[in-house]
Amino acid sequence: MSTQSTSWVPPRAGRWPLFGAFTILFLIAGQVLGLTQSPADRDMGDLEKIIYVHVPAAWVMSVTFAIVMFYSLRYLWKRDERDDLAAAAAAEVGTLLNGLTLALGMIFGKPTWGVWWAWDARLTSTLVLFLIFIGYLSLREFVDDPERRAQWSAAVGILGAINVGIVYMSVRWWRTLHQMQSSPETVDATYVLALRVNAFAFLFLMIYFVRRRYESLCLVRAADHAAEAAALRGA
Amino acid sequence: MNIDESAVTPAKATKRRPIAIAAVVVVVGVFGWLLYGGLDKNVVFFLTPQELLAKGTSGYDVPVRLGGQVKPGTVKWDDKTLRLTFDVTDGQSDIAVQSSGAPPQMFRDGQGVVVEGRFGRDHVFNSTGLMIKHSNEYRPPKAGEKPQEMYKTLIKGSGA
Amino acid sequence: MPPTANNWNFVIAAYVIAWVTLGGYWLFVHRAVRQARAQYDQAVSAAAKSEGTSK
Repeated sequence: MSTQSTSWVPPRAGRWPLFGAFTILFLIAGQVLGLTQSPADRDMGDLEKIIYVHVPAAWVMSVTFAIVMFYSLRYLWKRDERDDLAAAAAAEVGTLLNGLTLALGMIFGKPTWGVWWAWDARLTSTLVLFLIFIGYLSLREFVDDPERRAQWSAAVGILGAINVGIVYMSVRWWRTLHQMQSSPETVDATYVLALRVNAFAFLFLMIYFVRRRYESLCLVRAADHAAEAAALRGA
Repeated sequence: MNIDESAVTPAKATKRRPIAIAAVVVVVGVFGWLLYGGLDKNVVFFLTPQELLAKGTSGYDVPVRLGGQVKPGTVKWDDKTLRLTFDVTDGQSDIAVQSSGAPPQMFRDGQGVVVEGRFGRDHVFNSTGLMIKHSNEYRPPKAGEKPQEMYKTLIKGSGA
Repeated sequence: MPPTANNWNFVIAAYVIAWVTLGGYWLFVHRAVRQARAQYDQAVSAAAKSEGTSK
């Protein structure tokens, strides 16, 4: 059992609920902007509106897994269990966004490409990323010893986050059905604004989710520490 | 009650350890397999007309995906038999494709497509599945153009 | 095969899935924080009590 790092106080909610309320308003504004203010695409008509949920989910998923990478590395370096909990919080939110990216992509793919799914490099690597982090989350459920759990999670988290780079580059390295990354040059200005607003809305929401999840994981660990300490004193 | 709980935890941990190790092995294994093995075969999702023709006789009658642009002016649609024929081009070579059923709505002249099926010895590609490969461009229609209308006029106009 | 009428169904499906997923996770996160906070407060007060009795 880890006994070396019991000397920390769990984080407080502070002003984060206020930030949460702001992200909700920002997200609603972004979604309304995307749904009502962007003209239909010449090829796909109103289906173009799906990019305001699919693309932000995919982008922010990458950022979230980068956070997993950062805190996993920092845990292995400093051995502070709070870094492990931060990585776990980010992994959970990242997995959620990853699942959302896949589901929304399928809904986007059916009417535009004509198929729900294709085993091309982009879709396959995104699915692999999802499965790795499902593995990460179940690993945390199976291993009870916090130190061992933290070490293994860090290893899987780093391995999984490396795959984000493969997902990103898959459309450039390999010939895929999925199109290459769009850029402001390939996307009309009327779409770029709504896309940016929604991307930031998803980013803020992700930050909020990760912070609050981190808070609750820290509280549970700190409660365990307090109970352990009381039990030791009692014995 | 807390003492009881902490006494149970190590035993539970050892019981679950094999499952955890198995989970890690599966995750790492799937990752490695997809990276270096499984994905390798799927890395090229489709062949271009030139690549398919270059395969010669080994390219005939095997399941394959062919990708390229719909060559403008080659689309023919039969309303009665639901037969759709068009040429797929990569700019250098063309392959005639025969397909049945209505294509996805974004199908039109010049659009990127991927067809699944077999390339026959008669040099006609028999398609069993038609996918649109959309570019990374998103633009509203120019003045006068109506989105979606192009699909309708294409299917109607080529029926004759 | 009518393509145009169907499109909004896909758009609506995508947005509903996005909102239900994010909204559901929002509720889950807040319940988790509430429960964790209660668990922590209880553990701390129990520890303080046991410290008082052992002295």
